[in-house]
Amino acid sequence: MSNTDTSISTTQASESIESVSSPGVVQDSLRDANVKVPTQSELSTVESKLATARSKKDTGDAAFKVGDVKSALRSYHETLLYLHGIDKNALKSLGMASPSSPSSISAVDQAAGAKDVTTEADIILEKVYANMSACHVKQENWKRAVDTADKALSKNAANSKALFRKAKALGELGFFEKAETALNEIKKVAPNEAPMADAELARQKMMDRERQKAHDQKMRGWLSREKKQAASE
Amino acid sequence: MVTADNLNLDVLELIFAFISGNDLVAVSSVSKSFLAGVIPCLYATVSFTAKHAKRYRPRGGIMSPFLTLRNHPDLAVHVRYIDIHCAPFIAVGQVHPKFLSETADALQVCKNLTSFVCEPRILPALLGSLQGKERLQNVHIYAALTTIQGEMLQKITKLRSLTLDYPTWNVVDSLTRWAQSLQRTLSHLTIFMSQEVNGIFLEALLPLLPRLRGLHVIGCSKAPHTVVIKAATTHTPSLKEFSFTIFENTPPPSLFCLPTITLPSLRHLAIDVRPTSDVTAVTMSSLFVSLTSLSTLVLKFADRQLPVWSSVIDLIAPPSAITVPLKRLALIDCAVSIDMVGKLSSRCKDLEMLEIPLPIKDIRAFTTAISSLKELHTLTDVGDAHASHGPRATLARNDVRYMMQACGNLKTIVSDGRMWTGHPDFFMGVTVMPQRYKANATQHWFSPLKEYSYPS
Amino acid sequence: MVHLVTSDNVEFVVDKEVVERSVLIKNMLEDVGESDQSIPLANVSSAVLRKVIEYCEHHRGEPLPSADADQNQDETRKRTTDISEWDQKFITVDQEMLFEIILAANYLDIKSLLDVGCKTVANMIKGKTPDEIRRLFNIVNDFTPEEEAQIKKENEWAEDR
Repeated sequence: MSNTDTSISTTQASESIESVSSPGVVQDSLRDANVKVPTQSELSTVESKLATARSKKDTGDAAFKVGDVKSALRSYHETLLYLHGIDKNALKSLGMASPSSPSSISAVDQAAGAKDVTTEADIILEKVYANMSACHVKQENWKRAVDTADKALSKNAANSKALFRKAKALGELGFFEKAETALNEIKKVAPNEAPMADAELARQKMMDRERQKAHDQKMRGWLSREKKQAASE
Repeated sequence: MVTADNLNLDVLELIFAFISGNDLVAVSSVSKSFLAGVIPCLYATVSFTAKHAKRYRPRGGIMSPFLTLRNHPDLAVHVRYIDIHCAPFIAVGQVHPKFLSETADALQVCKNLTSFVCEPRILPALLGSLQGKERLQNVHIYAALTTIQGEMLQKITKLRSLTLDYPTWNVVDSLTRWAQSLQRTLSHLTIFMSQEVNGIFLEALLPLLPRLRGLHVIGCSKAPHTVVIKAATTHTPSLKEFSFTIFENTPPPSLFCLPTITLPSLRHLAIDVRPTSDVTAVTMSSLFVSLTSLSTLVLKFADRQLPVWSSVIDLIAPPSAITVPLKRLALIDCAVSIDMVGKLSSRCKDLEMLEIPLPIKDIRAFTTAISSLKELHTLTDVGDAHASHGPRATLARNDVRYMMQACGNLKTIVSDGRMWTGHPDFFMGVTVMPQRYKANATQHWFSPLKEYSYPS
Repeated sequence: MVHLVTSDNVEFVVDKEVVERSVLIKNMLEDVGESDQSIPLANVSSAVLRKVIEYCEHHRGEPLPSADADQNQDETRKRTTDISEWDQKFITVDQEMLFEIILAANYLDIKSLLDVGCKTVANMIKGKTPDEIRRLFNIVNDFTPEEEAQIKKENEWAEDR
């Protein structure tokens, strides 16, 4: 995966999106306990769905680049419609180099690792959700920005862009503690993005302080008003 | 074509989340895809009980789940709860060393652990493996440790719930330091059977734990109810769950000011009543005054031959007005006459769950006594075989059906290791089905039930 | 009204309130607004979508489960398998349709329908031996006898708890 835009400043980074179409996935076929051999027609259906999904995603990326967030979101949603519920068994077979399964690996180990198998659909989904989160951040639709970032993170917990968008949106929603957790997570998974995370953390702390100050002032006013009233009575 | 065998792994997981016990084991040996789908559910909770300990041999006996986890470390990501209730002994006082090393190795790889329960005295062997669990929120341990071991325990932070059984002095001593790193998260603290906990200690500890919503101090002889109540009402007024012990030798209330529980959000109250005379009623009389928010009350008595005093019932629900809208009432280790049951039922009309000793031989009269409880859905028999001499009668199918027909909302009756479930039936009125039942062994009697726990 | 097109190219026109039982579609409509452009449901056939819409029609207007409630449910380790009378009747279909409905509910993110389907399959499994389960669903045992014995041994601890 090529991450060329990781070093950009805070605001840009939250808007930049993953525009590289995902390369084929190297399969760990040894651990895959869940593959039933799919028929040729099942394979070709899945392949054509994947192709459609890829092209929808590209359309979405292009729309996002020219600032047409609404169209981008529509294309991304359509990508989801093709990718969700896709025949996973056929999908796994697509990525398989050779369906050999050496007997040295026990059935339990195969089964325990079955979940770890990442398909191409999973990788596109991760990127699409991360990009959708960028769209929502741009539209200041914070709630959905968090939702979609979480979806991307469920595919890959170390997606630092999704973490950043989630943190920003959480901060805007007033969940500073959760935002801090997400920002600290970035430092763990992508140490070179630590300065960006720290900058956002500082910005949010400032925001929190301002908010607190405004609140205190309001309360103070309210309290002193009450005192005045009490005095005048 | 879609068949059960080629459903997606995630869908299989969702299906298997609705089954339990033997069914999970059966599913695991159906096929490779079913095995893959059932593993997350099968290994979410790993427990080791007396039943396992009895059949444990270094070779040839039952395989400990911890050995399976050691052999297949990939399973460990799914483990969220580890419950060790019992350890296998090789000789008196000596635990199988192989069991300890298997368990320590397995614990080491369970990175996603959220809850750890260890009731036998084997914690020192496992402490090292318990480090570095970022998601660990709930710890319930037999806390007899050396000072150095106690320091290792302190490295565990971010806990939400902590239960210390039989803690040694150094563990209690270090708790005020440990509290500094737990204060942002800890909401439930239980100290069971400590000779060190006293008023001075509680006065120092509780101010450090502002997020505390549940406090249970049971069987700590230097912390009688007056002391615990005073510390809690002063420092942790937002408690929702509260338990303490009333000791036999508590100074008579007239010498002190009467203790009153002024905890406006209190929902769950459990009292360990040690005195064996009616005098306690005087001690208890002031406790209930301001408890209008209470929904669960658990009272455990010191001697199961003792009748529950009429005055206690009057306190729980005064004849004049019902001040406490109780939903769950448990009277443990005492004899409750049918007259008392009638009195209770006429006053606590909101009861949904009732736990008392069932008079099996007198079930008709008992049923009449509880028939006014329109909301009652679960009845649990807390009497046991040791309570009376001679063979004890067990609840018969007809008794169960009779009770469920008389109490329209009653759907579950637990007695003698069996759980009876009732289903409406066109011809019979109600059909009932017995099932083997095991109480949740990970919880103390004074803790709130899982489904009734009150989020902070 | 919302236009849906199934994998076999059949168009359905459905009330917005009904189709929004699907969180996947609900999110999409919220994000991009309604339009005459039809929504391609690439992974549902018309036969299955007809059943799914029947379910959504019946449950229209009921509150959708929130994401938080969902999490809490997973926390309480035991879950009931009770199914309401209407749902019971609705889900009385042949096995293939049952699995198709489960997959569609999972795809479209309709939590309550997914639960009904999963509970139904779970209830079919309860109390059966591995061999009975294989016969019930026509599953081939792909373990070697040694593997099967090993798995039984390794999971014995979980029996009857």
